[in-house]
Amino acid sequence: MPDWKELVRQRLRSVKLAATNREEIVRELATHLEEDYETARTRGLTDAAAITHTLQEVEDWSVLARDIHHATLEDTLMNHRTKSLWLPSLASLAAASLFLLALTEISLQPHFLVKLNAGLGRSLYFGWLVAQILFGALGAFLSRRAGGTRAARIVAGTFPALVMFGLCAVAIPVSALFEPNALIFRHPLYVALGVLIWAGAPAITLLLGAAPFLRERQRPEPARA
Amino acid sequence: MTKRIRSKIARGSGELAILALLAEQPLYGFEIARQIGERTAGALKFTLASLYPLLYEMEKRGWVEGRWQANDAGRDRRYYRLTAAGRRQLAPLRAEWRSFFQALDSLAGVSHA
Repeated sequence: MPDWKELVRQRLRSVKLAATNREEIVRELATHLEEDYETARTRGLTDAAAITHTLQEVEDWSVLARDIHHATLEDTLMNHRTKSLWLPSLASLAAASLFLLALTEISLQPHFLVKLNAGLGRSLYFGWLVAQILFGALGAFLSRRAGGTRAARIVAGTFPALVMFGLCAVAIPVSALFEPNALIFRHPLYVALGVLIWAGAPAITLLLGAAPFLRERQRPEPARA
Repeated sequence: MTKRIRSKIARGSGELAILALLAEQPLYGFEIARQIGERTAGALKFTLASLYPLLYEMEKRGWVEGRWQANDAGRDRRYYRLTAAGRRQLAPLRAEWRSFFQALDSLAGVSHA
């Protein structure tokens, strides 16, 4: 009986694989060939005939080497997490940031500034808050389309608010400790309210937008005949 | 039919066959090939060269998971089992193939039953 392991190792020399992965593949394919050979022998084939029969399992080893290389090749340009989590998260963050930027630009126009005291500021805020639904939906939709898990879709949808929470978590203590910003100590409730307004409330509306995309796509299987 | 289309059909049917088999129980490569050949009366036939690239691709996608395990005789084999993602993939694949056969049936009177 041939040394199947050595045979496979020699014929797959051209495959570019990590050493551990290569040995595992060699071991698995050799086991398959060995079992095929033994089955042929138990069916009554001579040693030579069984070897010939077994070798017919692979018509062209260079094609097999290429196919294994492609099958085991990791997507180096962009892995699954990048496609299903980071890109959708950045998309929702970019969209939310651009919208906030546009809103700020518009609201700083002189004729708007005059009206800000007359409640327009509040209307702008609520308009911004409601718009977060779209950005939450965008992040979760892109994540689901890329095969993201439910957790990835939630993160992608609420990413703008998560970034805001992160900024608050860093900026507030830094400001309190190093500036020092006495306002934070004197009015902690205002600070908490600010976090709620700029991170808590948007997190809820972003999640509302993401909600329809948190369910798995329904692809009902037709009834069996 | 071009070679490319034939290859896609073979690949798709291979994925479905493997997923359906592994949904019943974990199996190792040689046994997967043997059972597919036996249960389809030779209509579907996997060689080593066609089986393992497909298994590795499915493993990369997270549909199956391979693990070395010794049998009663002490021989090590790599058993594949279906993952949750693979199980989720099975129903849509079945539906797609059923639609495919129904379409062929209505077009050319080719029934899969």
